[in-house]
Amino acid sequence: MSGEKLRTTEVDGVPVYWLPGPGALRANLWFRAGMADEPLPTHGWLHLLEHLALHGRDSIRTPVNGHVSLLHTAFDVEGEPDDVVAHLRDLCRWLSDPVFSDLDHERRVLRAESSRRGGNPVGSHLLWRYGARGAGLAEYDEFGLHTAEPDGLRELAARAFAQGNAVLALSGPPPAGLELPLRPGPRMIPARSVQCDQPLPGGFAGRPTAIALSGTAGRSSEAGAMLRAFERGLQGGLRHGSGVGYSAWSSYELVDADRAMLTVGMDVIPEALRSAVSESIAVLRRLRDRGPDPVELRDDLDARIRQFGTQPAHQWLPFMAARDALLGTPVTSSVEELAAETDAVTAAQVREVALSVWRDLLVSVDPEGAGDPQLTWLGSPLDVVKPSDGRRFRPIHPESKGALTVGAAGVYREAADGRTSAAYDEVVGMLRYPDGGRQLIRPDGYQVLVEPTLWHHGVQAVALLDAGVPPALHIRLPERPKDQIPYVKVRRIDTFRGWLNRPVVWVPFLVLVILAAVLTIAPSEIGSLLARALPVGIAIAVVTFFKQRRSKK
Amino acid sequence: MKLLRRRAPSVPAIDPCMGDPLARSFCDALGRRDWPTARQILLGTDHPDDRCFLLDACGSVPDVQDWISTVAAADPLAQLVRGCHAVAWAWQARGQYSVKYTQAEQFQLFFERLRLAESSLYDVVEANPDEVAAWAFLVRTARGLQLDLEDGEFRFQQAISRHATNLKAHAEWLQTNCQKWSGSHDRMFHLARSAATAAPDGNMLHALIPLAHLEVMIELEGTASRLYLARPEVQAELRAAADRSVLHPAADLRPGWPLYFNTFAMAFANAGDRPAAAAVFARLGDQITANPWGYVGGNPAKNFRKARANVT
Repeated sequence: MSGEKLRTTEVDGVPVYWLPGPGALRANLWFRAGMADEPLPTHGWLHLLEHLALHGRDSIRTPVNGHVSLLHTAFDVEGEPDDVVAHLRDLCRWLSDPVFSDLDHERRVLRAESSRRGGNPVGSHLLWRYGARGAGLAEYDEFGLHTAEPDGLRELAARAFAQGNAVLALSGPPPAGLELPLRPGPRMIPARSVQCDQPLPGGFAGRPTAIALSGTAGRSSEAGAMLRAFERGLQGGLRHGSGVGYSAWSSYELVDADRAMLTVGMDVIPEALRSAVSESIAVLRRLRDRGPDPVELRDDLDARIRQFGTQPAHQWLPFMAARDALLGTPVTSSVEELAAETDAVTAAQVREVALSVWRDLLVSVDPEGAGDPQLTWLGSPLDVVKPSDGRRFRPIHPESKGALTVGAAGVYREAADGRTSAAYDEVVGMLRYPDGGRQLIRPDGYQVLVEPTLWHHGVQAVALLDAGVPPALHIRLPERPKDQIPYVKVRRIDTFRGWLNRPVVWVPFLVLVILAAVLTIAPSEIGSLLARALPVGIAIAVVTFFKQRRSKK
Repeated sequence: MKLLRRRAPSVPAIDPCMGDPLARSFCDALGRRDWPTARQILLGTDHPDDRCFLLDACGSVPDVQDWISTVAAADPLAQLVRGCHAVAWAWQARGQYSVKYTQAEQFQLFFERLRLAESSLYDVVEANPDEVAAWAFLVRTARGLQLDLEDGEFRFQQAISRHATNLKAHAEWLQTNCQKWSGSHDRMFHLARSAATAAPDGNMLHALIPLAHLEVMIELEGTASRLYLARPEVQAELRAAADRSVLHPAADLRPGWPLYFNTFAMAFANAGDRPAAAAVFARLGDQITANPWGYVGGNPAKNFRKARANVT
């Protein structure tokens, strides 16, 4: 290990962390703004700004890169000190005063990038855990690419790329002439991650022939040790033990300044999906109840400490420090400090982490493997509210049993795929397609889909929604391909079946037929009795009809 | 028509509190949502067996779950009541042959309530690992949630490492080890005999022996079932167990004692050992318990009455 202590300095009001080391100079300019800070309608703006800022700056001599994570946006560059200085100066100037001449081009590039991106298990766990807010946005399409406009982007850049919100990490001493001309501005304090209100431990239908388990814990060395123990347990139990799984993987994702989401997963053979759920939960339960095997934990910690020495500290310690400094958490100033922290991890601490993970455990599994009694299987929102007022719409298909109510404060939809509702003042975004399709996205990620082609007077329902949801939450999307717009073909037989399913249509008809038959063939006394009752019956039917009609409005 | 029917002899009522005044006060307090009183009673009940008995009895009180969660957030004792009550509540859902729920819905509700019980009881043992009652009830939730045997064993060991003769933990672990759940007769008898051997004279752990034999009996059918308990070696083992517990001069008659007397009474009655059965029935009086009389199907109280009438 190097024994070197992390050095700090300040350039143009920006803290700089570095360690002396050989090789080309690597610089990472970090900002405390990430996906978790973006509201759904502007999700993707930081990514767009990052692309615009680096547009045309990459070269073989000075390779550059940028990335947006949940909590940070970072710009990397590597090269000769003079080139790094020039790059950082130009980059900061652009970030202070962005130019949007390439906006449409980069927007197209990112849309293409976005369409190629497949769902990953960690993203889906973030979504199910945090919904359409904060860390949950990682799994959403970058809808902000459709809403981006220069003024909004400029305002975001001024906040996100402010001097007080930046830290620079260097793999060598700060070069002569280094300047970071950023606009003054405060640090963006990371919001506390808030999980959706749902019963946990829970499960949801995930990727085919795969299983993944996640939970949260405080950021710590013991959390890392628990995650590795969990991954080993899964590998040992499902792959080497019962032989039903492939290689296990794990992920450690910061969701706010203090907490991380720990995820482990594995691909499993289709025949063993159900048992894989109970077996993998048993691995976690074992860690929760008994803690890790002390000998195995010791070996793991020693291996981890050895790993710190395999890569030169100047290439990673300053970058880790920059990330932590921006989150307002203590900065690790030497490899020895990190090693000592790792060395001090105990089995009891690892057990505590396992308990924390257990408390908010989420399991995703191929739908075939769902149903384990230890988990609450999630699939529909808990708090569905049917508006007491509002206009009701009937499905176009006569046999469909759905219901749609658009009220003054919210919308309720009932269909074959379940019941959902959304209050306009809680919605985090509404997708608008030019063909009239609307998706109201709730904070917990559940949606209310309204397709005007599926409802009688559906266009009017859409108009009511457009007026109800605040305009800032409207996300205007481009035309959908025709085959993605739902269409209902109503055949005569469907209409006939629909009538049969509605006694209100055929019962009066049947009654009239019976009456006519009785009047023609029955004795005259019965006929006169029925003739007297008939006006009363008709009166009741008329009153009921108008009552029903009024309630439908 | 009613007048023409023969009047059946009166059937003693089943009291979930088994005639124990403290358990009755505890249940009454919970029934009227008087948590301070219920808490005081629980707090004053130190012995783990007594505590388990109180918590078992509270399962009969309706609507506890409607209000206990609000106090449970800040009070580990309320959390304990919440968890233990939820165990009984879960089994009620499983046994409700009501038209309100389909069998699948019953199981869904059963598991949902068990998960609530499990998480509440785990909160209790995390805050206080020495809460034996929580570990004992967790043995039962492990069985209901179909966890591996190793999980049930872990919880059982946690309970008996703190209270070696805990009756509830042993009874639940014995059930888990039954053939009808996830064990075998061998495992069940091994547990029952090793626990009874280690138990002091007068302790009710000896009732695990008749319980294990009754478990074998209900697994058998027809004549085999009747003949099993009549075997001389079975009868001898039952007598020996009774002599060391319910019929022992220093029998430890803690609250909930009728359960063990009923267990022996049923075993002796079914074994055809009339003198032993009569002796147990005589000491028991009318303190009938739902278990084990409910094991053989039908009305437990009627089963009890019939068995008693046959031997006295």
